[in-house]
Amino acid sequence: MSKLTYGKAIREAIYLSMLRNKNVILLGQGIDDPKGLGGTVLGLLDEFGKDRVIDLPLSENGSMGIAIGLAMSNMYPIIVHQHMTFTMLAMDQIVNHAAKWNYMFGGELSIPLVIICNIGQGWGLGSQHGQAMQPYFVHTPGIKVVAPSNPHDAKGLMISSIQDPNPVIYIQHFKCFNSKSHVPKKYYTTKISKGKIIIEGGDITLVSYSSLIDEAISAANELLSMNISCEVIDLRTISPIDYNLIVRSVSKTRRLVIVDPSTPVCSVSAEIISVVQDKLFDKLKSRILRINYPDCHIPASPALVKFYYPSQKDIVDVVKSLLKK
Amino acid sequence: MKKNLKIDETITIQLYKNMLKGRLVEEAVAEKLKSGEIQMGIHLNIGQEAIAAGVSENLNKGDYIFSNHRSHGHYIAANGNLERMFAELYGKATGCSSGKGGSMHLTDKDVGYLGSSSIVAGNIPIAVGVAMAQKYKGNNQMTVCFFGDGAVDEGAAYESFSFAALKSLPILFICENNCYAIFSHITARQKYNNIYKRFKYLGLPGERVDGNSAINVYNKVRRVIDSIRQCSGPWLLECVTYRTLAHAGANSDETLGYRTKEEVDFWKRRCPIKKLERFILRKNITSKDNLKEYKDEIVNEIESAIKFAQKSPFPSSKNLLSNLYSTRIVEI
Repeated sequence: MSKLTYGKAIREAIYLSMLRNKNVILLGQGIDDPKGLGGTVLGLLDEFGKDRVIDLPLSENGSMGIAIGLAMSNMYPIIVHQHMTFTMLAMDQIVNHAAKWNYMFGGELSIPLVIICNIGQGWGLGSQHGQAMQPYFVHTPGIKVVAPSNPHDAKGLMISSIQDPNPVIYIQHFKCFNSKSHVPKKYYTTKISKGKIIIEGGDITLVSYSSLIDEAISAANELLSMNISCEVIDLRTISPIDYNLIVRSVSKTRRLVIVDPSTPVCSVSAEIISVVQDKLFDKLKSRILRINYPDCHIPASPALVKFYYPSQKDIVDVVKSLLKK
Repeated sequence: MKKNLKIDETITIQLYKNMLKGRLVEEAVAEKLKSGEIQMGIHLNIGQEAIAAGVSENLNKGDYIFSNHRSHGHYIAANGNLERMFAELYGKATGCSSGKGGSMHLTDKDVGYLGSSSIVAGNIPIAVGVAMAQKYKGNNQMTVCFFGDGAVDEGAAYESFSFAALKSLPILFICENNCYAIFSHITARQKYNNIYKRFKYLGLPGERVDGNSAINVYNKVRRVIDSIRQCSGPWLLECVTYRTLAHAGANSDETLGYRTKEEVDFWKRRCPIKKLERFILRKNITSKDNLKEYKDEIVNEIESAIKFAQKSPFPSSKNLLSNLYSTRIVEI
């Protein structure tokens, strides 16, 4: 096993898939970026040529439809959006077409499509380049949404997404690009719809994913020094959500905090609260709380950004308030 | 390019039968809609049959067709399974889309009819993607995409035309210009009356044809289809036509005031089927008795398709959630 960055792990997954099947193709605006879009597609154009690594015009909706047409033709397209906010231009094709096609035609026409979106953070990216919009996709039946937090899962989930016969939104978070971990060299999958327990604990369950996993882990470590034992779950897939894992954990800890990297209204955390209170209402020792981004747009000023993203301290404070220590 | 094509008699008869079937099916659908046996949104194609017929008679096995909300005509012209179409309109489990799609979402992969989108212009980029796969696989096959004059108002159309031209994809764009987007006349939406040549500078050449002449549509397509197959670039045919009934439903709508009875009557006199029938009889291509025979055959086929739909079961509650996700195994 070698230590890889998040970007390189994703590249390896795409590279191995393209090597195995010539119908796997990659499309995106700026796919020929000299820096390879954070390393995720570095060198693939040279490796596989212009017929399989295709630069796109600034036509998000048209391009998404084209990717859907390819997917319908026994091709396995991967389409990249450099910012998740840009996918809003393609929402008609994602929501009205990709998500509905298999259902509307009675299962006759499936759409094996991977849509990569980046969520930005920092450098004053502001409202239109940084917003985390995963709830829009999680809300939509017929598509799956994965959001790996580390290089190992990033590689396995990319391979699984390419193998999935359905449209998969694959969320790359800018903050995760800093992470490095041991990644097997081989072709392997990480099952979509399965979360993972990162830290075992008995007093409270912390559920998180993507960019806020690191804060959740740090908070759990700090809380342990105060004799509070947290069980940390990385959801990895946020549609469908691994409720079995959450319910099993909360049945044990009987307390739940969700650390959710998006605005709160109609979010992943709101959905989890709804399901867990339904299944475990009598077992809970305390209210379920959540930590989300504030219900506003992302400002550009570093002074304001400081107040926007939740920190380790926010998580520690919320957990302490629940345990009254 | 082939020049001075003479249309042969077999093709003429074929075009006639194709259109007649389109008309008779739609009249049967209208009747069942009025009687309440069909209960869903329906956009009838009556008056526009010549376009789908003229295009479809040029296609081969392996070619693909994409349609829009007014989908029946394209499906019938492509020889889509009639029993499964009626079953779909009846909302039955045996429908071509298992009762999930309805009138606006028919499919029959066996004849290359991959599907239709009821989001105006939503089908165009998807058709371009299918054509891109055809070029990638290099199999000399092509895709046809049908849309209306309203669709060219959409950004998705512009984006798709530009990309198809950029990549020289094997796709034929058929614009059925029936002058109206629901109640909105084309002059209220577009400054110039020039859809066929508007996208020339994107690399998409085109021509305009009388969309109520199946022979003219057939010939125009026939002239360019080989070069489209050889990936010499996409092509656009604007077919000027008219829908004689309301945008949706089975009734006429002159009383609503957005168009005049005189205008509708003018186009009814230009009925593509009657026009070809007169031509056939004038040229002695076949006899009146034979034409009657064609009609009887089609009527029988429709009757048995309706019977199939009527006696088919409705989907059960367990079908509601099925097909939301595909479970097919993808081998990478």
